[in-house]
This record gives sequence, C-alpha cells and structure tokens, in this order.
Amino acid sequence: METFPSLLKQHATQRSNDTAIRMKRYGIWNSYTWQQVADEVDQLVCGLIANGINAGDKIAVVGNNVPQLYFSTLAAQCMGAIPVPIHADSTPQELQVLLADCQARMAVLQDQQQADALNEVLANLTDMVKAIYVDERGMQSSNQEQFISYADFISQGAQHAQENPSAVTDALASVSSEKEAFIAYTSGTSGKSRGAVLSHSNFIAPATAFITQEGVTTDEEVFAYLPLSYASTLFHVYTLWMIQGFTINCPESNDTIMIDMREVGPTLFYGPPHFFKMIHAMINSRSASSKSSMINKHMADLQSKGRTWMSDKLVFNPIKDLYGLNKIHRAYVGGDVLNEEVFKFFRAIGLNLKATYGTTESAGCITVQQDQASSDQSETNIGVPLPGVEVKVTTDNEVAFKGSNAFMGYYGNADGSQSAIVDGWVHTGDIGGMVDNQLHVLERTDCISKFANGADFLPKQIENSIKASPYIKDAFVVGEHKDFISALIVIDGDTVGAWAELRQMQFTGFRDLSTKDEVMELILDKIKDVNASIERIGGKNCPHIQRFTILNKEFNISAGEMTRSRKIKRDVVSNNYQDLITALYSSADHYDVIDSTGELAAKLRLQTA
Amino acid sequence: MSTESKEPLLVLEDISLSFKGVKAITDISFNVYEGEICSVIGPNGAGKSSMLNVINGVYIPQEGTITFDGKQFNKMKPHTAAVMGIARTFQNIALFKGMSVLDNIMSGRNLMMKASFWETALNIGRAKKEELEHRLEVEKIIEFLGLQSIRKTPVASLPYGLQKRVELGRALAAEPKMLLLDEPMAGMTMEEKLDMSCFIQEVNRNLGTTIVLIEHDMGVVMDISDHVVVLDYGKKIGDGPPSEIMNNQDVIDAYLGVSH
Repeated sequence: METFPSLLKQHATQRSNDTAIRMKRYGIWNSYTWQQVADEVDQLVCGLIANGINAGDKIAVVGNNVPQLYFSTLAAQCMGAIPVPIHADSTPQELQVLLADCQARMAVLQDQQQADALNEVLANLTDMVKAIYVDERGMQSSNQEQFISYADFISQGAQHAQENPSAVTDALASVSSEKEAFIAYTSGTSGKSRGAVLSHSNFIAPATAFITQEGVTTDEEVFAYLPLSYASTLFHVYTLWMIQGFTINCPESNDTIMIDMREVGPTLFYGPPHFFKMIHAMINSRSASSKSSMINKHMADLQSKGRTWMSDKLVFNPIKDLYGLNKIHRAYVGGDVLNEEVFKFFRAIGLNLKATYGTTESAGCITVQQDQASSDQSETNIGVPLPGVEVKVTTDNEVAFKGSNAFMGYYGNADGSQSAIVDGWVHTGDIGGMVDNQLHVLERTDCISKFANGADFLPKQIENSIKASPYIKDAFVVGEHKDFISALIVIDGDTVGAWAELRQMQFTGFRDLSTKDEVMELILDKIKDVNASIERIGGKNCPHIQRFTILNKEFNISAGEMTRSRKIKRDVVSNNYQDLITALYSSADHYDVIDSTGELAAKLRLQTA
Repeated sequence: MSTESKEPLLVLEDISLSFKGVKAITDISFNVYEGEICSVIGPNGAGKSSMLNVINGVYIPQEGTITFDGKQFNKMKPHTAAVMGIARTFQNIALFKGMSVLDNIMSGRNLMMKASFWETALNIGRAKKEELEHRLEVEKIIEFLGLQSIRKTPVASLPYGLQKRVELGRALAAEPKMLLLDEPMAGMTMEEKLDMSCFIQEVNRNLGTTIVLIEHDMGVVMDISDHVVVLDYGKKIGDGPPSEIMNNQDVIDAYLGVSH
C-alpha cells in the first residue's frame, strides 16, 4: 500500500522534470519540478530532525496555498510526523485552542499575520519548540528566539543532511500506510472543532478508487485555491495530486483568485457551492446588463432548447472562458447543497458538474454523483458511495458510512470517537435518505426544528430555496416553537448593486442598498415565490415565511456567525440577533440597530410577506 | 519615538514665500528627522501645500534656506528634489488615467532607467534587462500595497481610494529617502483612511522612509505622527510631538476659530 512519501519518491524518479506545483508571485508563474520538490522536502525533513522533531509529533501548517506549506506538509509525513492544517486567518485564541489540543511541537506559518497571532499565545503553548515563517516581510524586527525563517530552516536542514547522509532514509522507516497522515479539524458548524486523525490509506485508498471511477489523468491542471485546512481540499487537491503527479497551481493572493483561475484554466475542479453561486451571479448580472441581443437570446433559450454548436462558439465558451471554466472536463461541488437552478445552469452551459459528499471524518469524500445521463438531478442527490465505501441510513435517518476512508478517531477525545463510531459505522450527524440507491442529504441532525404545533421543519431546506435567488447571498430562518417562519436576509451586494445601477438608483454602499424600498420589493417577490413552493409541496396549512427583514450587514466569519466555509452557525446567529428575531414575532414594523457606541446604525424594515 | 537623538534629514530655515506681495509663508523654520512621520497641519489657507511645494522645489521661496541630506539650497528645483530622493503625491490625483496600475507605478522609476531612447524603443541592449529589473521592484510595491488583483486595470476605472494607493505606489517606486504626501486621505471613507494610514506606517517602518504629510483629519494625524508642525496664516504656531500639540493653546485657538 502506498503512502504519501512513497508517492513522492515515485514522481521524483518517474517524472522528475515535470512541473509539480506553480505559484504566481510578482506577476509571474514560478514552477517547481518533482525533483525540486523532493529535494526541498528532504532538506525540510533534515531541518525537522535537527530541531528535535520525532515520528508522531504534530506539525501545525497554518496558511493559504503556497508551495512551501505543501512541502512542509510532505516533509512532516516523510518522517512520520503528523501535519495539522489550520486556517490562515485563525485568531490567536483559535490557534491556542487547536495547537494545544493537538500538542503541536512546531508550526509552519505563511507570513506575519499568523506569526503575530501565534506570538500572542506562544507562552501558553508549552509543547511548541519552533515556528517557521515562509514570507519574511515584516518579520525582520522579530527577535523572538522561537521564530525562524523558512530559508534559514532549509539551510539548517542542508547542514544536518551533510553531517548525517542517511538521515532522510532512516526517518522514512517510521512511515506506513496505516499510520497517521493528517489531523484535520472539523469546521465546527455545531459545537467545537474536533481533530480527526486520518491515516495515509484513509486518503489514498478512496482517492485511488475515485481516480479510476472518474478518469482523472496524470496531466491535469488543478487550481489550489481552497485552504488545506478543509478535508475536501486534502482529498481533491493534495491526495489526487500526490497519486497522479499532475500540476497544481497556487494563486497569487486571495484577491486574485478569479484572475489566476482564468490564467490557469484548470481541467479538474472542486469548489464549494458559494463559489459556483458567485460565478452564476456574476454571469447573470453581466448578461442582464448586456445589450447584445445574441447573448440574451441564447441565455433565454438555454433551459428550454439547450446548447447548440453555434451557441457554444458564440456565447457559452466565451462566458466560460471569462471565469476560467473552459478547459474543465470534470467539476465537483461539495461541502453543502448547491441550489438546483445554479446546478442546472452550469450543466446547461456544458460544465460537467457533479455533487460530492464527504466529511472530515471520511477524509473528505464518501459519495460522488454519477454521470449526468444516468442521474437524477435534484439538488439533494449526492450520488453513490465510492468503491470500498459503504453507506447506510440508520433508523433515525442519520447517514453513516464505513470503509477505507473511515477515520482513526478524534485526537485525544476517546469519548467523542466512541459516540461517532458505532459497530464500525461512522455516524455523520447528517440527516438523509436513500432514493433509488442514491444518497440524499438534507440537514444536520441538530438543526431540525419543530413548530409550535409539533410539526418538523428543516430550516436549511427553506434557506436553500431562498438563496436560489442571485440577489440573496445568505438567509437564516427561524420558527422553532412558533406558528410561522421568519427570515433574516442578506442581499448579494454585487448583483443587487448591478440591478440597482441598471435602474439608475442612487446608493452609497451595501448598507444603503439594503434599506432601499425597491430592494425590499425585489426580495419580497422572491419570498413570495418560496412561499408558493412551500404551499405546493406542503399544502395550504404548512407554515410559511410570514415575516422577514433585510440585514444591513453580512454574517460575520470573524464574529463566529459563519464557519470559514460559509455555513451559518445557528446558535451564534440566533443569539446575536435575538432582539431582532423577537421583534419579527411582534407587531413592530421596524427595528432599530444600535451600534457599539450607542448610536442608531440602521432602521430595518420588518416586512410581512 | 524620540527624535532628539536622530539627525535632521531636512532643515528649513526662515522660509518666506509670497505671491505678488501676498504672504503665503512667513519665516518658517522646522526640522524633519530621519525616519520619522512628520505631519504639517493647519486650517484652510494656512500655507500647508505651499510649504510642501517649497520643499520639493515647485515654489521658490524669497527668503530662507533648505538643507536636505546635508546639502544646502537656496533654490530647490523639482528635478533636483527628485534626484536627491524626494518623492511626492498630490492633493488631486495626478495619475495617467488611461494607463494600467502597473504602468503608472513603473513610471515612478523613470529616473532610474539608464537605457537610451532607442534601446528602449527597440527593446535591445540594456533596455530588456533593465525592464525586467524594474518590473520586479514595481511588483514588490504592488504586493506591498496589495494591488495584485488590479495590476492590469486602467487607473481611471478604479475607485478613488485605490487611485490614491496607486499614487502612493508610484511615489514609492522612486525609492525615495523622503516622501511628501499632500492630503493622502482627503475624501476617503473611514475604511479607506484606515487602510491608507496602515500603509503609511508600514512604509515608514519597513522601508525606513521619512514621511512628511499634510492632513486635515486630526484623529489620523495624532495617531500616526511622531512629530507635528502646525501652521496658521502662514506662520508656525506649534512644533512638537502629538501629545504636546494637543495641549497647545495657540493650536486649540486656531482650530476652534478664535478671532485674530
């Protein structure tokens, strides 16, 4: 059975001069060949050894996609240490909690931002020996003994290698496919993050099955823009890359993702629903403001008549090219449900988009949707299990799986592991069902709410249908123990802005836009649509959205209202907006938002639908 | 930061400037120390912009001397100022509107380019290598100011706050010893102001550039300056660290509008 180090060795011998990874810096794409990657990893391994790291130690890798962090991850694995990927924008408190939880002995940091955060809590982290920073900008003045630059660390490693020529080979001895390859932290949509321990084979076995089933080649170009701290990135980028030896491309910065994606022209692509929704909204608002009758005609005919050779050449290929989607032969969406309308749109313009489903505990992938021809396209359909993985739905409608990707347990949390793994089945905490052998996932178990009359309702389902509108970025619905549903709406500033400009409305910014009467009308129409569909499915007496308001700001990731993958944390949001929600269930027609200085920040209209 | 121990980079002595008998600046002397952020503040028409224009040689004062980096001048000329390492930005954005962000910042390196007109026009000889070297320096500035996503965007289509940032980039491209900023935050939103003051502080701290800036926003000035000079009706009424200036009665009067 292969391990990540053995795969690296293979590529370094078989395709030593092929490009392994590219990164754009100073406006230019810089490449590393597999040989260069292997050499740098060797030096890092020696650096780790020289600093007293042993097999089994944890190395936190904190940052976005930069080649050096990939190398550090590999280096840790090549000596049997365990990399722990962590979000680039973690707060000092988050770092402290996670690093203390996994007892990290070393941290590799992207730049000053992470170094500053770590520095604040370093004194409390007794296991931490050293922190390595990749980007030296702003770090010159740092005289902290525990911080060392990546370049210096590499030269320490090179020196150690000279003195101990067999160090790298010796270190490799402690690696085996059943040992730990990663500790990946769950996003903590409900509750605190837990570190899932995953072995080499947890990733490599299902990924090998995925490659065979999906026809992933060795010549793919993959765009590595999602943080490594998601298990799905570890699967769809890191593991596939290590098995197939294709090329991955890191963007220049978070602001340049769309530009860089277009330059790269990926062939294999994985993205979260909000990424596809964003591109869909951008295409819609551009074509809405387009005066070209040709574009408008083909866009309008898309759903009814489909594509033709002509419309592809004239309209859809150029549109796909604008967003770097043209060369994609397989695209996957996962992490959450992508709205059906958006899904159908991408398939209609010729993108081979398929849903996947995975959790951190399953190394990022459990099921993949089958090829379009044979599959039912409803938005909750997430396909069939990968070969080697079994899925069942328990009597409580909870989805559980077992197989090659089932994790080893939560790190330092035996109780948590025991409650998650029952008779070898890993319980996901997601509610779902099997329809015609296809898995459908609906909701988290702890998110199901009950109305006052005792009937169940699934808030996420309703939120998803509200979010189908390109004008609505996020929605949060409440109705627990009530007679009707209320909704907090966050508009999409870009599309609503473009919509307003087309109508020559005057507005200063997001806040102003969100309080416009015209925008309220626009959203009200959408809410009425959703209510109509609730009535169609659930009948006349089914509780529907009676009251809603448009928020004057987006849900905030740093305030903990959303996870970094943009999933709403229900308990935090209900708590932060408690007064507003109470007002929605009163007869009030507006709500005053008071800011921290005690001044009136906004007057929100409470609309009855 | 104590300025006492440092060498003055710029010494202005008894500067007086008048336009056809109208006195804009009267007998002003002050020092700017190496590595500090010095703010020149004052009500409208106090002579702040004139002062800046005297420093980089746009206006020639009738009286007084300017000593920059140990060399004394009676008349500073704009191109001498540039060669000696003084760069500036303007109150009203003065960028090449149709050109990209990259090209605009590149133009700031004009003085350092050695290749001849023909070499540059035909991209031969020194020109090719030089272009690459300068592009690298410019790209470093682009990264520093976080302009990567708009490097190829024409300046005219950018929002005001970003244009100001591009202008700062162009001034930095000249690798100045001293940077003159004429109201870098005028007309900006609160968020843009915060960004800009962070950049100004980073330039000062990381690149060691001495900064002289004119600003209306007192909050910003007091936060980021090491040293504040207050002008009123062409005269200097205060000179010292922000804490001292805030308690200076003359300054308080000038800002609250006591009759003269």
